[in-house]
Amino acid sequence: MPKGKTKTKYSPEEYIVAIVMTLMLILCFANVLSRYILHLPLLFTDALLGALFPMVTFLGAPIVCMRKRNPAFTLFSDMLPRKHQKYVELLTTIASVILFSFLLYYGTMKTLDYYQYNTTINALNNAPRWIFSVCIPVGALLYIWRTIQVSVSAFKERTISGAEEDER
Amino acid sequence: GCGSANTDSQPDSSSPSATEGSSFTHEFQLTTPLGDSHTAVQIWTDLFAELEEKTDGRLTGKVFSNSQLGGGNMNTTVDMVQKGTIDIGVFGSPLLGGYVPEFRVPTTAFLFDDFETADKALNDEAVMNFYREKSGESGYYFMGWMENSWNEITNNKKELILPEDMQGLKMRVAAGDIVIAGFQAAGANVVDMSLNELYTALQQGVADGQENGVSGAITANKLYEVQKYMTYTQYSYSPFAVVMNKKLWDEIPADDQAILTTLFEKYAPMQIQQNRESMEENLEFVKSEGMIVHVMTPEEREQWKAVMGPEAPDVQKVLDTYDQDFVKMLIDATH
Amino acid sequence: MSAGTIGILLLGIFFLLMILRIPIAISLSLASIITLLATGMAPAMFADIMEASVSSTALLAIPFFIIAGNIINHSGISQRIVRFVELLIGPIPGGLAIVSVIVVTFWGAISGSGPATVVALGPVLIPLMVNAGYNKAFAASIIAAAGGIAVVIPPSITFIVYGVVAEGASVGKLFAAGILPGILMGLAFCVYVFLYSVRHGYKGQVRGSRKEIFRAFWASFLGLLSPVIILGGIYGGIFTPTEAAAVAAFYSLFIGVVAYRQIKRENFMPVMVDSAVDSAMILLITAGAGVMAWLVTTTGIASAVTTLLMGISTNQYIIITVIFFILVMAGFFLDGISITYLFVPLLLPAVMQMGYDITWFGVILVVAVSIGMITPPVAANIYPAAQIAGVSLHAISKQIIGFLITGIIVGLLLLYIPQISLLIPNLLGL
Ligand code: NA
Ligand code: NA
Repeated sequence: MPKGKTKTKYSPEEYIVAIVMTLMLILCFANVLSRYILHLPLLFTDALLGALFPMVTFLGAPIVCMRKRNPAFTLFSDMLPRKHQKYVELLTTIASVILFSFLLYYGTMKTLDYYQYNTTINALNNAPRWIFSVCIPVGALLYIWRTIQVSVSAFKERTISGAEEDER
Repeated sequence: GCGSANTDSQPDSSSPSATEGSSFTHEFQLTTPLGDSHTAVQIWTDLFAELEEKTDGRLTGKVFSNSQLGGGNMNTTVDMVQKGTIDIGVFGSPLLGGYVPEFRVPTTAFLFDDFETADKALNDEAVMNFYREKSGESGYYFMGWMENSWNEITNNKKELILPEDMQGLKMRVAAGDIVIAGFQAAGANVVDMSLNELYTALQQGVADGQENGVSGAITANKLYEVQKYMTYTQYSYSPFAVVMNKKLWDEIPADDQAILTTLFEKYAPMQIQQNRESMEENLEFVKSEGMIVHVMTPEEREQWKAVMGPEAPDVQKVLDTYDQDFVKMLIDATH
Repeated sequence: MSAGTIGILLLGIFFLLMILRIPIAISLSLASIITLLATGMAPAMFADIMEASVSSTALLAIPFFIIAGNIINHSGISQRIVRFVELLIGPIPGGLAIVSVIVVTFWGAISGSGPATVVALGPVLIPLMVNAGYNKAFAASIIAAAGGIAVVIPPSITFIVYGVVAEGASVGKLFAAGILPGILMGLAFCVYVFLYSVRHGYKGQVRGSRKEIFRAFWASFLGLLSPVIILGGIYGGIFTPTEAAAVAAFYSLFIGVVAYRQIKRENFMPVMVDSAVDSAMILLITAGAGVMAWLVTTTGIASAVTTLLMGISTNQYIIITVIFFILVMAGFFLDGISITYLFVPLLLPAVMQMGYDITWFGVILVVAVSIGMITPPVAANIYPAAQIAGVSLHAISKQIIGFLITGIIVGLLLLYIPQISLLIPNLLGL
């Protein structure tokens, strides 16, 4: 786990997810406090937490990709020579692009549907649903971008280090 | 095919039958948030069996309980029927409120005095037309009503005789803003939590009470084990709105539409009848399990109605945010 | 297409993609999409189910417990607890190894995740043992193995997921059921490291004076209080398990910021971003596994497997033993979340048919998952432990075998004597 000793620069999605998670945490804690101290439970908590929750997954996914934290079965790929590793990376990128293109398409359709039919969440003062579901296509698009980035840098790096290995 | 309209004619279905000429085939997928023990699940299984027989197997159907087609999430299944990835939904009517907010209005506390009033008002020509039209605009074909339950109020603290007894109780209420306004008007602290946390929350006192149908969550989720008192109020009626994906309905040939309508009109009253009988049975059951049930007298009911009913100022304020003509139409239909 | 064919297609594609080193989360999702398309189901369902799988508020406890764990890792409490237990143990052979097992087991009552526990305690305990002359790989394997107990002792991410997948299982009850089995695992590991230390001649420690022990206890008191607040709050009816997670995060923040002043403003973003990555990683698997579990249930694969399982034998002990080893084997190739989503729908119906308790099966599952955390190649606890100790995967894998066998023995004990797991829930009247 990276330590935050030096000033690290964070990507926009990292800021957004960190803020969303902080808000969710405060909201849940505030609900407990207000139930016991003010005897006034917050009514919208469950609905708002439920609506914000998918953001952690869909906007968090590109961060996981960027930081290469997705667990994978590495037994066979580790047996490959180092200079071929980049092709494994490429395969992952292709698979990810296919998956997230699906999600981009259907997430967009879903969001447009909510917008078109003016679907609302009653417990959130009838807030429109599309503002929450839009995290799906946005996250999918970001993931596609990040996974291509990872692959491109793998090809650059590994090509160089592969060449070095050959020299030795 | 699962979930999508399948209009391909089957080559071997040319044998003569009662509905000769039609080659429309389809397997309907039906979703409901209820568990297998609910009367609606059994009735739909029977309905589909007769449908299959009547159409020589061209039209069949399958019931998926517990919102399993939506991965356990009932809101997802509502979207899926709208989109047509599921064909038919049997939903507690407020669940459709995201698309047609007025589906929440029938659950208004003390709106209906008894079953007869509820039946009369909900099946009122103008009321049905309103729902059919609004559902159509949102991509649903409104087939009609079945019955979920009359919801009852339970709690762990004391016998609730009059509305003021609810003062300060932590009540879990799920049915939407109109019902919540009623509880708040009676002085309850309405707490927010999902159904899957409810049992433990009631057991450990995170919430004192809740409202649900005797045949619904009170028995299905075994809430009677963790709730001591029930006030048999018949306070909020919870009908099922049965909806089909509109596009699919429009694709069904008129003859087959007629068959479906006839079957629905035959089975829906049967379900409602069975549901009312099962409600009696379940009421006896929870009593035998040790719940103390207070049956509200008409005089007490009037007092509750004044605080939580459609004419209570706080509730009216919320009702004002809905289509005014419709609200008036529905209330008038109860008289 | 028959349920069997769909099942083979689904799992076949999944394993093919996984062998190609495509991340588990992506493999799960992609295999599901391909199966949806191949069976003629509407692919639009995919996005819906994926979203539904990760919007269940019951899963909210996962990011909250992760935040709580990451905050407490920065609070400086771990060193104080280690010091306290160290003074307590004294001159028993392998004293420091036993201290490590005890501290990691106790940490399980604060943390809900195995790898997070390894990351929290490995940097403190592994150098301590190595400096005292312990084999590096052995030291790392202690932390990795005992780290798995974090999902058995409450709070536990795996129990939370099981509560969502197994309809009708209550998280509160599952948490209570995990307490004794977790302690039992800790004890068994203590016995194993004791025997190992006797054989390898690892000496004990100097026992602290009563005054020293008391002082160390007082210094670590706020940390020792954390599980009391979490569990006391849940069973005292003060808050739900999800809220307990949020309270735990704020309590850790209080320890770190106010009491020990170890957490500064600049720690905030790193902690939250780390938590975001840890949570999103788990939730992305949850989303993919959720879609696959949905296919497994709705296409009838699950009922086909139930029939198959029930046909193995008429002796239910044989069937549940087979089920346990299926879970342990799955642990070699899959992470805990995937195992829960894929295998619970497949196995639970048979377990329920035999009249077993749904809470008890949750315990069996988490024990298998905790064992899976140390069985390579997919072994969430091994990688951070090896990295912290600076040893190769090969070296640590050899050391892990003893812990693996010990874990399996405990698992079998819990399998054949359900009362161990159900004692505390029964006492609490849950
Ligand atoms: Na734990
Ligand atoms: Na493993």
